[in-house]
Amino acid sequence: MSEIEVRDLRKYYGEVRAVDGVSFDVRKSEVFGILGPNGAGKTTTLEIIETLRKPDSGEIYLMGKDLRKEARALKDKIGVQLQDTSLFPRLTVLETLNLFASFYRRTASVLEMLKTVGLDEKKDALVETLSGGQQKRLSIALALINDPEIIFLDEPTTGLDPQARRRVWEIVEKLRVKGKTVVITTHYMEEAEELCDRVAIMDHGKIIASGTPRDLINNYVPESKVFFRLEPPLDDEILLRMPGVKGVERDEGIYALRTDSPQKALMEIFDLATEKGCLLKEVTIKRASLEDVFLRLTGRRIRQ
Amino acid sequence: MKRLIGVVGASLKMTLRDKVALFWMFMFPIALMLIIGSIFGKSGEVNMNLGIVDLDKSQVSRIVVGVFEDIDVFTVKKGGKNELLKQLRDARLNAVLVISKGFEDSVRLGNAASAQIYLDRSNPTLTQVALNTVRQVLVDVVGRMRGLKEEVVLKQMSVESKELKYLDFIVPGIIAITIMQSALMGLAISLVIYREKGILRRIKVTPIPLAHFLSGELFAALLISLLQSFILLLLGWLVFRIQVNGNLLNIAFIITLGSVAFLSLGFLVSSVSGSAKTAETAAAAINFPMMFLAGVYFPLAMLPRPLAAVAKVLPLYYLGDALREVIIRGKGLGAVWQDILVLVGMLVVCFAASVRFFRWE
Repeated sequence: MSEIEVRDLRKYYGEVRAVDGVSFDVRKSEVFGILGPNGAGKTTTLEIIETLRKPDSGEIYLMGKDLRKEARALKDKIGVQLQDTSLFPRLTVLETLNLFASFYRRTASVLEMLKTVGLDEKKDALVETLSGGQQKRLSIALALINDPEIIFLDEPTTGLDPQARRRVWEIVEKLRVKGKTVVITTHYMEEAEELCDRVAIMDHGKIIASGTPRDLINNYVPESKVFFRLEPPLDDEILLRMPGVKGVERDEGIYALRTDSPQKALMEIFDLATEKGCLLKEVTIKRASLEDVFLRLTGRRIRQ
Repeated sequence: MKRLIGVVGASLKMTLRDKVALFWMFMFPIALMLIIGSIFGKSGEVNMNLGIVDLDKSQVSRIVVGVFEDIDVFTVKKGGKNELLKQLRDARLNAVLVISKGFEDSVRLGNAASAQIYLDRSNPTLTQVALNTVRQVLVDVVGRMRGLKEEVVLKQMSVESKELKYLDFIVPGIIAITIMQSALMGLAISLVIYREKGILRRIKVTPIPLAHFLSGELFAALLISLLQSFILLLLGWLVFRIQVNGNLLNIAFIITLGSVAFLSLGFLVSSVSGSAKTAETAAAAINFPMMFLAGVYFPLAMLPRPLAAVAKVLPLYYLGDALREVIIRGKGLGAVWQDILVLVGMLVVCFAASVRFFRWE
């Protein structure tokens, strides 16, 4: 049975269809990503599941229980990190955790929580003195304070520097090891590929594709790109005539070859270089990304 | 219970760490009281320099002069009319009483006796006291002359001057204002900020019911109000020797009721205000008229009649009145039932409306 079941969720704001018939399932112990550009409806969807907003229609089951009927009991078992992190500025980290711990029936060890998110040295610091990344991590710690079965993280890395983002990824990895179910929204496609077992891609309030990142890429953008430099350069036309090559671009002397079979293409390029007496340099192969999937599906980049 | 204690504790800690709020909540009312106290502190022992011009020079007029000389409050100076009036203009006298020629005859014949009083209008409070006292002395003396003749004893006059020191009047007023300001500037603004910053949303995704969280906040605010009132009362009593005649339980009851009533008003302001800016404006719009018109700084009798009518629709008037009656005059709760009724009514209406209009975001 699915840990989270969402059926035909709708939320309209006047003419704007923020969430327009969204359905998905999340399995137990899975890290599930909802991706899409800003305004796609990710946060609204999540906030409906978190009981912050009432849907116009649709059904939600968490751990088999109807959210409409058992909201309070379910709130005890889920952990939520909201997108716009804001906490009591004049409480310390430890006081904040203890305060929120008092709201729940079951609580995880506060000190252990501080270690998990790497804030143990900041436990007596006032929240208002924390950096953006530290506040995000505190906010994640709050989402874990009741040792929840399901954890919702809404854009946990937005606005963080790469190092701080890496730390958040490590926390999510720890949760995966512990067997927690995690739902995460993001508009960083590489983050979704790195963290998520399965993803749903949202655009204009609808889910336009879902599956494992690998399946999505294989289904929608199966070709890889082979990059290399030739000295002296050859005409693009010759390269394009090679079998299995779907397209050629050249940028500052570096060729980018689109192909479904990078292995075959590489062998062809070796042969061609030998035959023409060219020097082959800087060879790299790059698989397509979820970014390419989104581009293929919508004709737009995810971050405009 | 665990939740309530958690919220109250956190809220108190946050308040005590807010230096600016602490200044307004504690230092400001204390400073206000010290300033007003040092200005009016001495006026408790009213001392009036009274000039008397005796044109009648009769037995009766001499008795009248004698009576004034026996009253501690008055320092009597006898002399000619022109000379004494000049001293009045120089503010060396507070009032000059002129006993007209034929005063004794009028008294003996039962006619209206004639005397004039010249007053220094620049000090209205003292003028009022002077006029009332002199009039009463004359009426008394003349009354006794007609009935019992000569012997005149007027001991009750000294009681009159003790009646109401200005500080006795102002300290309950300052407590009332402080209670109001804490609720409006403290609770109302902080709840709106919680909402604006999304802290209320964060609370909403936890299992704690709204009512529990808000009661925690209200309770913490109430504790602060009680502490403020206690400090101000103690200061008034220790430093300015105000008369605390009331039963402590009654005093605590009125302070608690007043705090809860004004906290609900603050809660209502936070519920209907979209942003902290709006809340501040709304709080100020309630705060200032009440501060100046609700008769907490000066008696309603000193206001023009239309303004006095306005005061009676402001809830702060009733809190100030109840505190004054109970603390200073030592009245019981039954004596201020109207004030209590108004405060309870305000509490119920504001609380119901706040719950109705409450928004998480």
